[in-house]
Amino acid sequence: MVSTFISTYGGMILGILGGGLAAALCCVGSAKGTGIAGEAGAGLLREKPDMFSKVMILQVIPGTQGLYGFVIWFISVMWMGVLDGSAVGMDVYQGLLYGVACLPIAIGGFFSAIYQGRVAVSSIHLMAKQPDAMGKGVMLCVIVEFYAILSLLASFLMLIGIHNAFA
Amino acid sequence: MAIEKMKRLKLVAVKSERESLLKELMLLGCVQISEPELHSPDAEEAEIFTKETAGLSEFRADYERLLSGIELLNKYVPEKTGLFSPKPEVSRQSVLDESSLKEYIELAKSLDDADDKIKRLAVEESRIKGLIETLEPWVSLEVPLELSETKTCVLMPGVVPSTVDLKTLKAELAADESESQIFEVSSDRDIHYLLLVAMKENQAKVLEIVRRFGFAPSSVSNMKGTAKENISDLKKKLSALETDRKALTSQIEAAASSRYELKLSADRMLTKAGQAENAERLLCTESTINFEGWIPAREEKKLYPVLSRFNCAWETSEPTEEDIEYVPVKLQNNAVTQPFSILTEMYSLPAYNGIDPNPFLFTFFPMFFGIMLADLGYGLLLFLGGFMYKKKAKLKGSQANVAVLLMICGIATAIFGALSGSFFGDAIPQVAKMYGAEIEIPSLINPLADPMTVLIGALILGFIQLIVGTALNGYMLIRDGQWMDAVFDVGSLWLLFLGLALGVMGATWYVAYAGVAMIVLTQGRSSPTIGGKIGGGLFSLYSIASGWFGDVLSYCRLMALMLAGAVIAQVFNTLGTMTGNIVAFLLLFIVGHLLNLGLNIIGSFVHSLRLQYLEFFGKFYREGGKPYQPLTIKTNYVNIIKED
Repeated sequence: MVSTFISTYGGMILGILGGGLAAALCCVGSAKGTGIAGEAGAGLLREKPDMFSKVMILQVIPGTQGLYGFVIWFISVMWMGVLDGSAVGMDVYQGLLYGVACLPIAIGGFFSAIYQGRVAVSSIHLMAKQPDAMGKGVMLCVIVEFYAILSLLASFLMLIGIHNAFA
Repeated sequence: MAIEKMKRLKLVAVKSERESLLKELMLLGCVQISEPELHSPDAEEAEIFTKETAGLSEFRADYERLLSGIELLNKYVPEKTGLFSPKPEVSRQSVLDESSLKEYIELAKSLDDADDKIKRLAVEESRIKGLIETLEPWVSLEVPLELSETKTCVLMPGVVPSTVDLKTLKAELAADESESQIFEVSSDRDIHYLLLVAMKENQAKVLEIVRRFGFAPSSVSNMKGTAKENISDLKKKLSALETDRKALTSQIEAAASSRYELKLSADRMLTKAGQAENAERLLCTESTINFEGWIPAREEKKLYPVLSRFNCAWETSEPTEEDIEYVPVKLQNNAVTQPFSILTEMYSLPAYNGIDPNPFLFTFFPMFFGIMLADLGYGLLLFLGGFMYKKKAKLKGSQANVAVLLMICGIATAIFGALSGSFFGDAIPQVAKMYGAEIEIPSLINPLADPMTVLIGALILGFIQLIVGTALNGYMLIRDGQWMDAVFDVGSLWLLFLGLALGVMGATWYVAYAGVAMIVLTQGRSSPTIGGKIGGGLFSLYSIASGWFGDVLSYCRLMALMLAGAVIAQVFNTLGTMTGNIVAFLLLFIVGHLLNLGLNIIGSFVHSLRLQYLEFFGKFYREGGKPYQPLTIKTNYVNIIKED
């Protein structure tokens, strides 16, 4: 009974666990990052309401990690066959490979979103003093973003390799 | 497409012509007057020259006054403007016309006064409203409020919290034999309003009892007459204040018809202040004014006919080596490369002996932007958006540049979108599948199916951009006559890369060895000792290797963002087709793609920019130029008609 359950669903469960973590952790990180940036932004807008568009751009920058996590989730469930039902009966080790391949973006995205949010907060404070410093603030945020991109690529390239190995 | 050549201008003119000369120079709009501190006159000159005021601070104050007047108008009578409403156009002469300035400064002042009065009235109104509120609970009390005692009794209005049970309070008072009485005036959710009547001789004792219940005397006892009379008096006052306030408000609203004139006056004042600012830079003797400044070499000829009308002596000269730091920088570009000045200025202007990066930004920035966004549909939307914005709003200056930048990036996005077979993601095949048809869109690059090719392509593009950067560095060195530096710094690097390429292809590794040797032997050349030279060479070999590795890898973001955008678009299309209903599909399609487009525009923009600023500029850019700010007419609210 247990062994049939594991052989039928075990691989798929491990796979969607990894993919789900990628989406969920990245989204939580992005929510935290955009959240603290939004709080700081609202504080600035109380004084200078005309800076809304600038503040909003800085606020959404830590939101991209959520997108990256979601991209990896989508790719992994698509290639595992969760969407068309062919993932049922997937080997356990195969599902484990898919699941583990999702971890770089899950962890990298989660933390980089929070750290990037903190840079965004500081940049918003910077803009309160120097309204023209937005470009600099954005650049500082983008430096952090690169490490989320590397995590995304790490997960994606591993998924590609695994997908090709079983295709 | 270069940095404009500048000439130094020295001029001495008769003082009585100061204003008219400055006005003419302003109309000419190409002379920048330097701050005299930069070229401080020697001690003997310092005694002769003085700076004279030209009323700048008053002009600035008047300008602020006009601005606050406009702001007040916008607050009381918000202006209805469309998204794309163009600024009105006026001639240059009209901006210099000062005849009606006083009138509108007065108007702005009166608006400010009216607003002040309105604010004071509003404070008074809210005070009276507060009073009425405190009196309201006492309306049913028909005793005048100031009546605090009779021959034998004291009367005391007061309050207790509503949690107090009045029956117990009354019972306690009755139990004590001091002949007192509590009248309930009214009660609300929190408070009982009471009138306490007690014999004079028992006052202290009664008070002690009621205090135990939290009785507190009320402030209404300082008023004269009954509560009802007071309230009706206050209401009369209130309505009088309101009429006053309305009259003032309508006075401000009436001024809304001169909103345009106010704005024009503000621009006139700004121009006047700009002229005064320059006038205060002039060094004056008793009868002459002197200044040094800069003029673009191309515009020099325009100066002759203007200056010949004045009693002045002047000369122009090429900037010397020491001047380079002070020469203002103006980038000279054509209509297509001009928009990229925004990006250059956001970083820092190139130094006068640097190089104008706009033509290179024009090549690389839209290309990288296009690769990251890579969607035919998005590209067309961006192009149309920029086109409409420019056409409808008749933009000038930096906003027009933004619109053109949007159009160029839109075209690049559309091209790479077509190459990757992406039109709103995979919308076409998905919709076709909804109706049972199979459509395969051919694509040259596909980050999902063939990611390695796209990744390597991105890195190669990055390498090309970096090599262009080193070439520009070499060009500048050779132009400045530093042949040796060009050969050592750029040549050795190229030799190394050529050698690596030959080695990888299997021809020979010796060229690469030669490159390494050249780097180690030449890069430490500024160090005085032999050990320092070798050490410096080895260290720079290490930093070249690690630096180039990191720089080239940084371009992998091109592929990652392309992938992310494409996948999100695909997700929304899939979600839409899952409903199987064309209306629901369209709804999801529009919302989803707007979201994806918005986020990806920001992402593509900043990441493409970062690649220019950090990786590309790092290879050659000499920054730190001072912007060219000629004496000219500046306006915020109107556009100047070009006339010649």
